[in-house]
Amino acid sequence: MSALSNIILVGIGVLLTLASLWYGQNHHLLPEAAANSAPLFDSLFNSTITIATGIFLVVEGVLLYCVIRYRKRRGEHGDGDPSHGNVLLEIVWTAVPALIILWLGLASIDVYQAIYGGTNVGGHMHAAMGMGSSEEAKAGEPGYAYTPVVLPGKEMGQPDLVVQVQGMQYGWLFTYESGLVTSELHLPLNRRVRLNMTALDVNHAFWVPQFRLKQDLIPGRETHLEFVPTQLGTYPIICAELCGPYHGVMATQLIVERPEDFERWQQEQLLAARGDSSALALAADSPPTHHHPPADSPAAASAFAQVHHQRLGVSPADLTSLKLHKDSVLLTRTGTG
Amino acid sequence: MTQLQGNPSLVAAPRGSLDPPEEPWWRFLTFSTDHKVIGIQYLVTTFFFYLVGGALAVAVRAELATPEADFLGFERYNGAFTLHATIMIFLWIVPALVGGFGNYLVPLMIGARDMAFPKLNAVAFWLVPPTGILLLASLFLEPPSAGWTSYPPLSLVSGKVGEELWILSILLAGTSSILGAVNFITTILKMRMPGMRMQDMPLFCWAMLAASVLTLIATPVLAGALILLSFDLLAGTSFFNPSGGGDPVVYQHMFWFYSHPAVYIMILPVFGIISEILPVHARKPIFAYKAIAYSSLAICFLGLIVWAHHMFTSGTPDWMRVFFMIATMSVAVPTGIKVFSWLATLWGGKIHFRSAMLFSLGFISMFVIGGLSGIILASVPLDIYVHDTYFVVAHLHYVLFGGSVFGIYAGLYHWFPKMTGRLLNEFWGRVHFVLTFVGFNMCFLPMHKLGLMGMPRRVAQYDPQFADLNWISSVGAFVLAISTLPFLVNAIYSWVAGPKAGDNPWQALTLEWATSSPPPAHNFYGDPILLTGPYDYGLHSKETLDYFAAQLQSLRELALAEAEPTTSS
Repeated sequence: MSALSNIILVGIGVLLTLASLWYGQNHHLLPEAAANSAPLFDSLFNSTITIATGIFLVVEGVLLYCVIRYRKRRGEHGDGDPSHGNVLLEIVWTAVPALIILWLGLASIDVYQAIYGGTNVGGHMHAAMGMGSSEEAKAGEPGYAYTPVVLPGKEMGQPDLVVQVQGMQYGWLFTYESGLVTSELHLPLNRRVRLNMTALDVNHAFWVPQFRLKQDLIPGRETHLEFVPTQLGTYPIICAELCGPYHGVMATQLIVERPEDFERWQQEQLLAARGDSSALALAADSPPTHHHPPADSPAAASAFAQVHHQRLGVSPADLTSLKLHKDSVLLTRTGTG
Repeated sequence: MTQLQGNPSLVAAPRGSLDPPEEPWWRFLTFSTDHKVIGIQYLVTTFFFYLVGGALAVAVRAELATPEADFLGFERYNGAFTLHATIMIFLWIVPALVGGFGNYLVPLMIGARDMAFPKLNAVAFWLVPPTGILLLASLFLEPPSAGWTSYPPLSLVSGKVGEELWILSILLAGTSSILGAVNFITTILKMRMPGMRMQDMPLFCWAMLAASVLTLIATPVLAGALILLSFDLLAGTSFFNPSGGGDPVVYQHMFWFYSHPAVYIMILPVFGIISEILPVHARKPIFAYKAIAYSSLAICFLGLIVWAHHMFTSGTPDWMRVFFMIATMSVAVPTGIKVFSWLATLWGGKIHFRSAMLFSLGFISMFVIGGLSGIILASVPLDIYVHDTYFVVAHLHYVLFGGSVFGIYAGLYHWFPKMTGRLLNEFWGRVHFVLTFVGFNMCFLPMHKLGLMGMPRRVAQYDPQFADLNWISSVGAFVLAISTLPFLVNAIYSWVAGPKAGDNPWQALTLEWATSSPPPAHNFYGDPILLTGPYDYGLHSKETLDYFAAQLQSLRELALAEAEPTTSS
């Protein structure tokens, strides 16, 4: 190959690399980042997009080059150049992808341990066997060997608060250590929270895109998530496992507020719950704090409440009886009423 | 070996003594044991179900054109997407590739007169219409509504009739697959013509061997899962029902133990088809034959040990997720070897832009996109984010439509002349390609962003922020629906009244082109002779090619002279 074509080739390579690097940082494909897990995810995702863009441009570029340069022109007959192998080339295009996936695999293991490390040590059938939940799961589990420190003083396995989550057709119940049961999840900013989750009927999944986290809720076993919300705001909690015809409207809200606001909200809810059994339903429509969206906006009334009230005719009394049923049948939780 | 350039008297053989005797058209409706008839039976039947599955897809996209569930409604929507996927997988792609192309081509390519077990072959085909009838019946009685994955406990509470119809039809389809796999493995290993070693056979046969091994090992496990699910559904057992002590995740393991290899069953034959088409229409030998052959076996092996990457969010333990991630990422290496080898096959060739080549080029481009989104899905933390979102829907359609369906179309354009004796119209083939390519990307490209921005899958109603991209996607789906029309009209018209193709319109070197179009019932006139390797383009002089053609000409005349005197039409 001539010197000129070598220079052109290198130039193309540089352009491809720059384009891929740029797109990897500017793809605008993800929502905002609102928890400690999100930046870890995003950097891995961006790097992967860069590599994928580069590979795509190379493959597509070679294909288009062949289509133009090696097309059969009018009047041409006969066959092409009968080459059918090149050992060096084959070694290179085997080794380079192998190295890429080696890097991606190791980087993924790192990010996975940082976000989830130790939360998934096997779906023990706690609920079915009536055992206590997360405390027994922690002791002696191998997963807790991985404890990367994400925020100072906040290590995996040492949450500041624990919330029990139950998914059912078509909403969630969140039970706090204080005994409060709500259908929206309020969390304090910059505190590590652990969710112990199970399903009451069919498979569901807990997904918050802004946190880059997801975990299935499976009847008969307990699954977990641990994270630290790092940004105030209201985020959707979306069911991400087909759970029936109304799977698409099974969604509620996760509200991250300042710790003092969170405490005040919890106290208000507990008072209301003690005074009126129908307050369980009202928890879904609780008065907006300054971090709620405006009361008359579509986002304010959670889809869960809407669907239940309008389509399925579920009343507050039904929700109360469900709570009592839950307490008598399912696993006991530490610190709940 | 076949008719080749430089021998015009054989390039377009006129009707006459060289043609096979006419066989009655209604043989396609019978229990024929001829692999060529069975192959065409599969192709026509599965194409019909492709249209049914496509109609369901149009219904799904009509619902999703607007955020509210205002077209099919919540309940009917779940039935629509469940049946769409089930039909496309079990009644279109798997049987079209394996039963259709596999059956038609493998005996011809290896110089055999039929498959090892012709009657078993016919039985395998005739299990397909009952499969379809059961699923179509469910459309009118009660559609299955728990997704094509049918996870319990949901599948146990979504309607007994629909679910059991689904289970029974898949059991039939799986039986058909297993019978076919036995046939292919035996045929490929035992019935190659004398002189054709494994490393001399066309790459499509290597692909069929790998796909059949996967079918044989994995499909019985699915049957087991479905039978246990049936017991839970109808007899009150608790294999997967937690209230009786069962575990829903065990179903997921059993289901995906088959369903992951299933996706390789749906793509390996396509890899084989592309490896056949590119050399012919680029007039170049396939690059790195051995690497492509062995990579099919590598994909077969790896495909059996990656199933739990569909379960990264199911509460599976950390060590399990890491193992399956590493195995899954490894599949990229043999797949990449194939893609780069195909590019190297094109490099330095003389590319004819016939419809078969256009769809092959489209295949490479679209499949690579699907493969790259697959790499993202292989990484555990990345997958956990996009699991059960539209990102997965984008990925699976790029590999199944952009991959398998483009490949099937490429194969149809390439082998239609051999199967029917007539040529498809090339202009309408190009129109078909452009419409398909545009409609496909319009429909599925936006889904990557939809999933990443927060839209889950299997929903009839979605957040209004996703309305614009969904609208574009639905328009693309309608373009795709329209794109099937030029192909349908072209195929039907050309089959009946298209121009005669002759033995070898593409001047190809594999054995199926060394006989008439369509081949006689016994495939070859006299015994087939192996004159050249399957991809020796550019390696023979004109004199050698003329010698090959003359050899075949005299063989055929000899065979016809020895046959009954009333063979000619």
